[in-house]
Amino acid sequence: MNLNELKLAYFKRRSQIVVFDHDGIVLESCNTLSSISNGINLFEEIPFMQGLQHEIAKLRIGEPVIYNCIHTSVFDYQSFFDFIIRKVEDGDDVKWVWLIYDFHEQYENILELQQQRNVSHLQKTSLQKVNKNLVEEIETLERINEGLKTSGSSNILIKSDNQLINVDMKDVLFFEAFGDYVKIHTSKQVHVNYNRIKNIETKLPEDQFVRVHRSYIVRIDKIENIEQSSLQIGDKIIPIGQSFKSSLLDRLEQL
Amino acid sequence: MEISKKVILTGHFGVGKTSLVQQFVKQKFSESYLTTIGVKVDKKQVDVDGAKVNLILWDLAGESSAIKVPKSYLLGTQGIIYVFDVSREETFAYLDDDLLELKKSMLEVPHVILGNKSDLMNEEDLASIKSKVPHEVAFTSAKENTNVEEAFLNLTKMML
Ligand SMILES: Nc1nc2c(ncn2[C@@H]2O[C@H](COP(=O)(O)OP(=O)(O)OP(=O)(O)O)[C@@H](O)[C@H]2O)c(=O)[nH]1
Ligand SMILES: [Mg+2]
Repeated sequence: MNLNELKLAYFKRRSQIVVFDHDGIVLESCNTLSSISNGINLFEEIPFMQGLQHEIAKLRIGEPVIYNCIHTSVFDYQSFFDFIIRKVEDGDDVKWVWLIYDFHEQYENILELQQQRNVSHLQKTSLQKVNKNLVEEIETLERINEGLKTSGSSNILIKSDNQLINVDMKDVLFFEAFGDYVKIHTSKQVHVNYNRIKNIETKLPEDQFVRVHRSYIVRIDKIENIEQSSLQIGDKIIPIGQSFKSSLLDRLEQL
Repeated sequence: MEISKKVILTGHFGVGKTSLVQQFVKQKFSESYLTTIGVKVDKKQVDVDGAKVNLILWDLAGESSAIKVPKSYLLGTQGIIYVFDVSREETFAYLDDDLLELKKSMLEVPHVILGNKSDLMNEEDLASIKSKVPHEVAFTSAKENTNVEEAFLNLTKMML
């Protein structure tokens, strides 16, 4: 076997040549992939060919029409194919040659890449949408809360478990950061709100609340006792962060 | 008498082209997404006004932005189904440009525009989409098999 034969061996196993006439009748086929008998009408039997009759008839001699990546079946043989159809002269006759290449493996690899690209794009847009909705909700709540604050109300509206809850600031014991959420501990229950503790801090009346730790803001009049590095509200021990200690003591002194 | 008509389905990826064909041809729906590369060719025979029509469905791979279809895929096309996803605005924001592009490559052939995944939206949202899209749109759900057969038959009638 010479080098050229070796090179072409793969394609011989993975390709097929079919010759047909103007009416789509098969004149010859090498039947490497799919068994196609002479006399069969391709324009009636092969879905891919159906509807193409006029276009194929219009081809100029020698001019190929190339179809890449066609996922279909050629009789009982299903795969990803490349097809080339060409009109040729054979003596006084014209015939059409249909080259079939089976590129299943190659196209499977491309499929995998495209799948990854599309899925990650879809995930990204759906996250962006969720994020946009959340940002809009937060903005609306902030506007309402700003209104409440200027009207002197001691209430704040928060979203927790898909419900809008009107929380009376006088009932709040402390706020606790919890990942992307903030837990609002009141004397009756705990609400969870999608928010940042830093953001909450700016919204609270300064004379009533104080930040005591990276993760905690407490209501000053609910503090029961204070030790070196912690304080107590109800039965909860809350740590006091080093960097917050002096400002806490300042605030307590002012009282 | 039997007639064959080649129809292409196009639109952005993930809008449900393959699912619509699957529902129409095999009465099946799958929640999981398996993208199409190149084109998948399927066939279904329908009966319209006493004529048996072989619909040859060329389900094209969707794009992420403008629709680019290889010329050879379009040869012999007699009908177009343009699909968008009602829940993703990016899939119908440039519908006009896409339709123009398709019309440039082919002589005017009958087409229908389908807003798919109607099960994900309420009536009010659908009405608002209808007012945004300056074309006749039919809403379908491949998932719940709503309006799917009607959409294909409607196009078949336009092609006859
Ligand atoms: N809820 C809902 N989901 C659908 C509907 N139709 C399709 N899907 C889902 O949408 C995803 C994409 O569907 P496909 O039919 O693969 O989309 P496509 O347009 O063929 O995508 P490409 O081949 O990549 O261009 C799949 O997860 C489907 O289950 C529908 O009517 N309703
Ligand atoms: Mg698809």
